Amino acid sequence: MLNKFFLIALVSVFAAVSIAAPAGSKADLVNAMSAMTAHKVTQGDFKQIKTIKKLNREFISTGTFTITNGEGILWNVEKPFASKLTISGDKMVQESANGKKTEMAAKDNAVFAEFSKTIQSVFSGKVDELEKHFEVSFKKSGKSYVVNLVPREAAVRSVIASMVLEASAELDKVSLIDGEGNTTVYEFTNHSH
Amino acid sequence: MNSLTTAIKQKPFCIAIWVALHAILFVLGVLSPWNVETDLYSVLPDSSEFKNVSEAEKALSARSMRNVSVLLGHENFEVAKNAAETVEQIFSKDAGFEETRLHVDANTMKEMRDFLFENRYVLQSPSVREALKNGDLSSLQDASVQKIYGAFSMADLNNLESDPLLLGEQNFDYYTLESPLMSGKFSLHDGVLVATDSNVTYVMWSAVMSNSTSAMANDGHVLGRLYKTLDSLRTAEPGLKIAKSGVPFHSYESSKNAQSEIAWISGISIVLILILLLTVYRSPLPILCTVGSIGVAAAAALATTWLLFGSIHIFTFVFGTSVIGVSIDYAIHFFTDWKKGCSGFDVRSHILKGLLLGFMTTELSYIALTFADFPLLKQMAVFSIAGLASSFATILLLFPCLPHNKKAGALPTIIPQKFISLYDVKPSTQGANLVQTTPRKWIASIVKVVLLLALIPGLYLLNVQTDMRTLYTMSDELKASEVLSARLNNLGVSANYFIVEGASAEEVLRTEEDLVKRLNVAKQDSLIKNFLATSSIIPSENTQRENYESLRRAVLPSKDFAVSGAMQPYLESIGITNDSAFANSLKSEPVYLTPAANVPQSFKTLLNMLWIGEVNGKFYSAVLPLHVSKDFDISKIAAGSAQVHAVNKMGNINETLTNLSRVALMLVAIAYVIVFVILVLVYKFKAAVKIIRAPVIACLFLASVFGYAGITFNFFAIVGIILTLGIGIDYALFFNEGGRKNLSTALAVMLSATTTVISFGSLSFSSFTPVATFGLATLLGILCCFALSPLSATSAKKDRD
Repeated sequence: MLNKFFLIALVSVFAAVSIAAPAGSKADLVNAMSAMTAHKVTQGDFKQIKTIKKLNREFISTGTFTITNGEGILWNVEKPFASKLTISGDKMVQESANGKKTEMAAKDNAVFAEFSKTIQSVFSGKVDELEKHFEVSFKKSGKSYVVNLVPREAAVRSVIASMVLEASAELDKVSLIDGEGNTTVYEFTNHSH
Repeated sequence: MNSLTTAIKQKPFCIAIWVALHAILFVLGVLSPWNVETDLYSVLPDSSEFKNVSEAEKALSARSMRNVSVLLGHENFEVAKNAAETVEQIFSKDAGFEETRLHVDANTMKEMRDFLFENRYVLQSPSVREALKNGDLSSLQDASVQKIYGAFSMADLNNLESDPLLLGEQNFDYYTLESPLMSGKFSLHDGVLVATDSNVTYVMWSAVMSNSTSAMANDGHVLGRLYKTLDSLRTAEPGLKIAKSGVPFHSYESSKNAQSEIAWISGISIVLILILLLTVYRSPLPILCTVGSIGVAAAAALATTWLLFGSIHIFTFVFGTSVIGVSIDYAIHFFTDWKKGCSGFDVRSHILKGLLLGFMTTELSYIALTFADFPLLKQMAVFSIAGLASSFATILLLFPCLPHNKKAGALPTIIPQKFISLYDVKPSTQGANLVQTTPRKWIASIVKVVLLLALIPGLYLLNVQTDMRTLYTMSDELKASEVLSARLNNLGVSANYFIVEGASAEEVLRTEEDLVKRLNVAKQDSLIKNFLATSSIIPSENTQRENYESLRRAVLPSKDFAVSGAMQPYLESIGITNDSAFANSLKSEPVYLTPAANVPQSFKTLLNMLWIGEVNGKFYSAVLPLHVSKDFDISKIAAGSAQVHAVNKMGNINETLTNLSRVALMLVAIAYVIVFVILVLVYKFKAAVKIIRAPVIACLFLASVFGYAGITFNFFAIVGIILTLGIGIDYALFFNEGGRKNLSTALAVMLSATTTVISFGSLSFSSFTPVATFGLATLLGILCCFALSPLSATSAKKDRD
């Protein structure tokens, strides 16, 4: 029993830190999130910038994304190395440039199920679901707002200190800051519906 | 010869012999170790291969059987968590638990990541191992760039320069995300593990019982205190759901119920027997002597068993109750005659023949059992042989030395008289009534034949088998808890598993790796969903060495330790211009891990479950298949490797007990043939048949009732049969010796049967299936035997009064 206890905890941490989520005053936040996720399908480009302090290096990748409300999310990394990540309610599929697929089913893994549920709640505007995992604070400035998410789990905070989500009519930027000061920034542009 | 005959009629001689015999036995018994065996494997024959892994299995069970978990659930998570925190607060320092766990250590993830990075060259997932073996660096590079540049990757890139293939991160995925332990519904929430079921959020609290904590319920038992705490939490918060899981809860509840039940049953039966004996004898002396003789017989049986076997099995105690049954009968026969005013030595002379024959026949049945290939059966037989011999010696040597009964008086014979009259189906066979009695005789014979024939369908329906699973009925609450726990954990551990043995830890791990290959095939064939094995965590040194060497060959192929050309474009693509950190980390041979290595806590607890370690100079581990389909043949998987043992503990025990039952019956049948021959020599054929038919028909009767009632005729029912044969024949013998119309014989037999029916029959009311089955079988057998025994009297003695 204890071994399971440890491993579940471990992977839960992993799943939680893999989640990026936007979220202020709750009513404003709900409205903003609802507006941002009101579209059935949202597509656009993204740029991912990983900054590793220890290496003094940035790893930049670009590609496209498609968010289909209630169905799933597709991340299509194009450069510098092609890969795809599809997240739906029941599974997550990773596909490398050479076509090799790795699949994980929600029914076989509670942590993935949690991951899938939460990440989809971000993009479908489910603030209540987000609040289960994060302390949510919200700042509004004109049409823009900034949501600050701090993981509720101490174990998660040891890996990722906070997440910041910046949006206007659309989600513009998500920043993840880890315990060692490394950042991963997602910039979203060219939204279409 | 004459001097011996004279001597055995002298009190000092008899007492001296009795004391000497018992003193020797007790001294030897006391000097032997007093062990009580509860291990079910010890019932297996010496030839059984499972016997070889019995000790390893015992060591494994001893660990897993100490784990408990409690799920505290509520619609409101905070309520559930507060309840769990209360439990943790109360019991975290309790000496009854070796370890308790509620909160998740925030460093768990870092500890695991660091360990897998440190050991990246020796611990690798099967896919990485396969790629390296084939020199396929490109697939590893592809996987690595996905982690570096892919979306939502949380790979730790701090060590990229020394681990450009991100082997540490790949390990982390394999050992965590792909772990079979992740199939459950639990996830981390607010620092604790939670799962939701039917809108109730459960918080998991788990613990390991201390080695010193007894499995049996007693005052102040830690589980008793845990139950009280949980009850008060439930009272304070009515919506709180509690689910308890783990063997210790079952042991605690069973033993608690058993203690109160045994106290009730034995208390009532003892009071009833005492009232009965006091009513008949109107003196405490016979009762004290009877109880004393039983006590001495039981002590003699224990001493002999300990002396010869070094331990006594718990089952022997159950079977050993026959010693009480027979001892009490011998004493009753003595005191019924003694009560009439005879001297002790006269009583002995009077009952000696019947007693001796009864003793010999019963002992023969037990001696027959010693020929079985089952150590347990031998032990049971020896226990009974010694106990009976002691009881017989007490009646023969000690009781005759009792003072002459000066308060001789009439015995209450009204009931025996009425009982005997029931058998007078024909008034007289003399003179003019001869013509009338012939049809009556015919009618009686026809009724007997019909009754005998009526037994046949019951015997045909009889289901002879022992299934331990049907012998334990858990409470509804505990059953629901276990079902919920299994559903939320979804681990699918099967009752069937493997024990791998080897001369060294390395040999065990290598054998395991071969077994794992076969299990992977079974996994591909959907026969199992997954498995847990030590070698999946810590591979053999051979595999670890291969992992390292494959990587080194692929990455540092030349003698100058230059990084392979096949790596250079990849390193450049991820911006690594200086490969010295990578090359240096691969140059020197890594430290190879063993199951005893210092590993993260999550691995440690898993290894504690799987790695048995050294037992009696050999090494063992357990491999657990998970979510096993009905087509999965564990024996087939184990076949071909003498070091892999397919363990189906329940199946093995069931099969063994079923065989044990059959062998015991067969041996007793053979003993009965010998008894019959002796009886023929003593009483002639017709009388011998009359004596032996009572216990034999009684056994057929009880078996037939079990068949008609659809009750499985298990090991415990068969113990009842043996008891019936052992005790029941005495009734027939005494009637034969005393004659049907001898009221003191009828009274003695009636008292014997009644005490046996009260003491064993009361057990049939037990809520514990084995005890109830044993009690019911003995009750039916003894009742039938008693009913038939007056018919055993021969014609010549029928009219003697």
